[in-house]
Amino acid sequence: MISSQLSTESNAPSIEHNLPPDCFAQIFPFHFVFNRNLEIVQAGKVLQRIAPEGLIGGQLDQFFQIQRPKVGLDYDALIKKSKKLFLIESIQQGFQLKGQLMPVQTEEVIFFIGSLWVTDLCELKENGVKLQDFAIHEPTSDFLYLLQAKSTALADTTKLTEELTLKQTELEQTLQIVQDKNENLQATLQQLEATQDQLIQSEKMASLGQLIAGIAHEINTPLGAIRSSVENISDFLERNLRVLPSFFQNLTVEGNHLFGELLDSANQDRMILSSREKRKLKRGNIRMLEEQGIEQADDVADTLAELNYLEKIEAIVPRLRSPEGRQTLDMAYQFSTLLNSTKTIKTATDKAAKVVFALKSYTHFDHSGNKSTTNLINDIETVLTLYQSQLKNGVEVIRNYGPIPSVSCFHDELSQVWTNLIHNALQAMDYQGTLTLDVKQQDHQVQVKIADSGQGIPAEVMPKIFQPFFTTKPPGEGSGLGLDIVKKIVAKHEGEITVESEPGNTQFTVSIPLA
Amino acid sequence: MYGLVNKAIEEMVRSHFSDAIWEAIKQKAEVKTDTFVSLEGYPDEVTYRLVGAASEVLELSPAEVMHAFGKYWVQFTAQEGYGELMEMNGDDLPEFLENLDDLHARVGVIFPKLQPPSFDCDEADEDELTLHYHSERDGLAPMVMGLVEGLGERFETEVDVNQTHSREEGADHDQFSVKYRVKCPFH
Repeated sequence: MISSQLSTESNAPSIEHNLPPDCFAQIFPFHFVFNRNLEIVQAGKVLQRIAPEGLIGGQLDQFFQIQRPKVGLDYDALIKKSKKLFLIESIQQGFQLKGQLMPVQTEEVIFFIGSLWVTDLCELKENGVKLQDFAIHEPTSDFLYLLQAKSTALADTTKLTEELTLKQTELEQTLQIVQDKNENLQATLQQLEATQDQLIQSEKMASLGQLIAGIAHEINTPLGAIRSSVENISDFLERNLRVLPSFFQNLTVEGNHLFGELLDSANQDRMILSSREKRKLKRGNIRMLEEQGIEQADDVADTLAELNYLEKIEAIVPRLRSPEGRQTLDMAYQFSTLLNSTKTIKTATDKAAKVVFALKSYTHFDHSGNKSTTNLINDIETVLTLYQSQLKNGVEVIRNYGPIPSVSCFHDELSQVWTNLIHNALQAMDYQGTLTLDVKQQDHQVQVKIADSGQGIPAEVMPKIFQPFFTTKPPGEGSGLGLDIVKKIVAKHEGEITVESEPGNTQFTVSIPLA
Repeated sequence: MYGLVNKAIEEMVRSHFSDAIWEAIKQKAEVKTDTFVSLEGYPDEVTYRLVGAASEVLELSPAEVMHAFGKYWVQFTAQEGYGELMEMNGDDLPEFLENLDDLHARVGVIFPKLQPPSFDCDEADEDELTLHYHSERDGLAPMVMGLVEGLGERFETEVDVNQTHSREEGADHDQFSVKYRVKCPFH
């Protein structure tokens, strides 16, 4: 029985009520009491149940050993430690009791007030203890619930950690895959960059392929003229080579003057006359020749007309009566034809040379990879020369060229830009319309505008025109790379390309920095 | 409610049906959480949404879902580590039901956000007792019936549970009659 005196303090209000022993035993089911002889004289019901038989009346050291505090099993020594936490172990079963000693001087006994101390539910089971064996007020049960909650939390943490580790592994694997793909992409990009130059050149050649028929025509036409002129010369020489020395030897002074006069007339710029005017003059000349008694007046008038001698023929008509005069007229005519043939050959050669020069410039590929200085207008004109046959039947070319300085650039690649833009412009207007070229200096840039009068680019197509492999042309007619390449070349020059379009006017503007 | 409850619903669906059905329920309930943490407090609404979605997807009434869940809860908490604590709370069904309130009271002390229900047990007759159930939450009476049946299975006891008073019908609290009979080990 606990008496009020046990816990009274000097200034505390007095406690008058005691717990009856059975109530005490109920709220301290693991307590025990021993006397000065260290004989156990009382024990809680649960402790009695779980301890070996003979607990009551047995010696303290027979059943328990004190783990803490470090104190010998001496009654007085134990009293001195009554303010310490005691951990007492069951010698036979190994369970542990935690509590404190409460000496009762009047009865010469010491109470051990405490409870079974477990940190694992298994220990309860091993000692045949249930939760209901603990006093309701005791926190042991709650502690065990907390322990279980901690285990649950720990299990959750472990599971989450495992999941996290798994996800991290998956992430690392994914990252590795992405890295591999990235490396592959990098390699592909390098290959792409390496083939880009080839592609530009290939595109150039492809454009050339489309132009080649026109270019062939441009070269064939002067070749035909040359051939025909050479035949004329050859005929003349065959016919006249033997007689020429005697002709000039026998030529009188008067005849010599006539010959020179006729050739001068032939060499003069021809009068610009309508056919009707020509016919009228010719008729007048025939009449005059007949009046002057010139035989074959018709033929003579024709020959004079060929020699550009249509007016004032009366000055030479008297001299045409003689055989020498007629022979001189005939020879002057043949010589004038010869001269015309040589002029034709020169003109035709110049024309063919121009085309060949354009072709040579266009197909040139600079392998050095260095920029060179060029005049963009010349480059644009080269492209126009190659497109001559496509332009001459229905395309009016308007050139608005301002003064521009030379530009340091990848000349071959920029030629491809002008070719693509001009080619697209011509196709857009089906080779019928106006091609306007504006070239000027704008601040520190050269600005080239290429505009066509075609039907325009539809709004829905506009955002895609610079995408690679995008084309509105029928299969086989466009690779879809043209404008993509144009954009890349302009970007390589740190320039800019823009496009504006409406029906009847589509304009690409390319700006290339001067520096 | 604590995550443990939502986790139990998830486990019940996954083990009785399939992972795909659980994902469908979660999607219908608009629950984005991948993993419920047992001791984390979640809004009650999440649990109600999960039960509602499960009811739609599984084509069962919410009461049937809750009943099944109550039964599963006994099994689930045991496997989640609370089996030994349950063992410590009683050797048979009536003793366990008698201690059920203590169990919930202690859980409530430890987890203040939990607001666990309260139980009271009266002996009505030999092999019959009256279980009183007090909860601030609605619609969980079918779960209590499933719970008692689950405990019957745990203690190898035949049980017959009937709700005698319902809070939904105006009673002060839900009340159940529990008739029980320990199964003969030879049958």
